[in-house]
Amino acid sequence: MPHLTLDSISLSYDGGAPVLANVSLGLRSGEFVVVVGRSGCGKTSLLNLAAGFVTPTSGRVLVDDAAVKGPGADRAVVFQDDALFPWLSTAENVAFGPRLAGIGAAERRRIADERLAIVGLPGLGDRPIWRLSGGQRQRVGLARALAANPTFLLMDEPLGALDAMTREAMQELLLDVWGRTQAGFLLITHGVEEALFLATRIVVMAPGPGRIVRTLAVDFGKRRLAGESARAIKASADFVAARESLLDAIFEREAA
Amino acid sequence: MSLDLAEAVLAPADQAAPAKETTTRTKRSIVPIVTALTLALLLGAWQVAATLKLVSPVFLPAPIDVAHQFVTVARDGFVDATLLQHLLASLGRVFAALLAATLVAVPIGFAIGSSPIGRGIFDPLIEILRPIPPLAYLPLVIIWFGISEPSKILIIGIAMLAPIVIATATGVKGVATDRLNAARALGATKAQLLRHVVLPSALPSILVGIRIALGTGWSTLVAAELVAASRGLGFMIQSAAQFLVTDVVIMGILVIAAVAFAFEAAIRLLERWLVPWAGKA
Ligand SMILES: Nc1ncnc2c1ncn2[C@@H]1O[C@H](COP(=O)(O)OP(=O)(O)OP(=O)(O)O)[C@@H](O)[C@H]1O
Ligand SMILES: [Mg+2]
Repeated sequence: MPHLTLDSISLSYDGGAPVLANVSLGLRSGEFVVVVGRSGCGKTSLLNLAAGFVTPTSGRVLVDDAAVKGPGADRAVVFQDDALFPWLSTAENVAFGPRLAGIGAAERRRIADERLAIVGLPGLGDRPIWRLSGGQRQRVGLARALAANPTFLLMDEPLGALDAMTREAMQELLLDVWGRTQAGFLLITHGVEEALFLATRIVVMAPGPGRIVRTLAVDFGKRRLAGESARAIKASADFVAARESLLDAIFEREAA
Repeated sequence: MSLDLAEAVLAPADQAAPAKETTTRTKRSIVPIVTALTLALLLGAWQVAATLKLVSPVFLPAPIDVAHQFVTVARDGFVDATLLQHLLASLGRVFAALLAATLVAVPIGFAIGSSPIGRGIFDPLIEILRPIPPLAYLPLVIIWFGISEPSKILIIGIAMLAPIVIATATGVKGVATDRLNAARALGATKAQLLRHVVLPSALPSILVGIRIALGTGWSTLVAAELVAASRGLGFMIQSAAQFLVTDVVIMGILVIAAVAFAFEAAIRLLERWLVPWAGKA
């Protein structure tokens, strides 16, 4: 089974103070790992290492035991600011990866339409992306990542800029997409409920230097996919209890 | 007006915004009217000064004479060529220079914007070249390349180089890191990044550079056409001045101004067509 491994990673930018110290984290296909932690604790740095945008000062980044040398289409990334290409139509944005891979126009269009349908934007392929709403653009960013058929999907606060209602709808969408693919998902968020609702495993980081302080296995997402309503899940006693213990971990409080 | 103000003060912020916008729009629609009035006034003053012979016609011919010369030169020509032929000669030079300058300047801008070595090589050269007025290097170009057609194009082209290089480099440097990373994570090679991300991202900036360069080049034209041209708007003005045919001089100046205005409008159309997304995403 494909796996992405961060093995005893330390990182400091340009010889400065360490941003990450001895961090180890694994991601397998079928997993949904969510990273939470206070601002500046190195979450984005961690994701950039996994994506190959940044190389570690020490330690190794591996995909299936082979060292990662840089970014690659096996690890697609969804950004907080959607990072779409405004000179391309929505469909061309989605099919950007296939285009780089030399796939023909007709097949690209088929892929784009299919991925747009998955993210709930059927028929919007010909729109210029600057005529889409923020929520729609974030969906296009997700569709673009999915069109590369990634083994791992890395997302850095993709829902951070959205309003509360759009955000909840997008959480359901992410869960749904995750349920359909074999890919391993890694998501960074500031939302505690979001983390609990989506994750199979939550990783809590703390700053100074950035490190992992707690790992928590949860299954609320699976319950949602099994048909239980989102509201019932979020109101359930075990969800509330998990939220409290997660908050304790984030703010390094002793559990009451 | 006072009612508008009262509403703006009383209404919550988000409702006050449209009211403010309307005011700005009203103000803006006044601008063309004021412009038209100013031009009409100037033209009127000019005609009056000429009719009353406040100034000798050799110095200030009447607007009507200038208009008449426009028709005459367009039909019968001046110094062996019609106005259209002079215009086409000038346009030909400017566009040949623009093509050459763009082909040279865009790669240099890419080099400056994307690599420290490129910056180290080209940045000082462009900084030295940029402030030199074209008339200063004109004699050198004549010594080196003679008074042929290419040396005229070269003079205009050199003047166009710096604006395009600087605008291209700015555009290349300004490409959002996320955008580059997004493409890299989708498997883009270095060459694909340049072709599919950096170039389109920098295009709005490059077009701004071309617009500025066209203005600079056009104003260099008269200087370039002093170099023994036998056709061109600059040459036409120059010849007319030697014979003290002042109405042709003024007519030529107005044509040059009109063409500059048309360039500006054309590039803005081109921008709307090529980069409709600029500033929106
Ligand atoms: N390119 C960089 N160069 C130097 N220092 C950096 C760079 N990127 C991040 N840092 C520093 O590394 C630390 C961790 O930053 P990082 O962006 O990974 O945190 P984060 O957990 O993602 O924060 P946030 O929740 O605010 O997004 C911060 O102290 C930051 O100032
Ligand atoms: Mg971050």
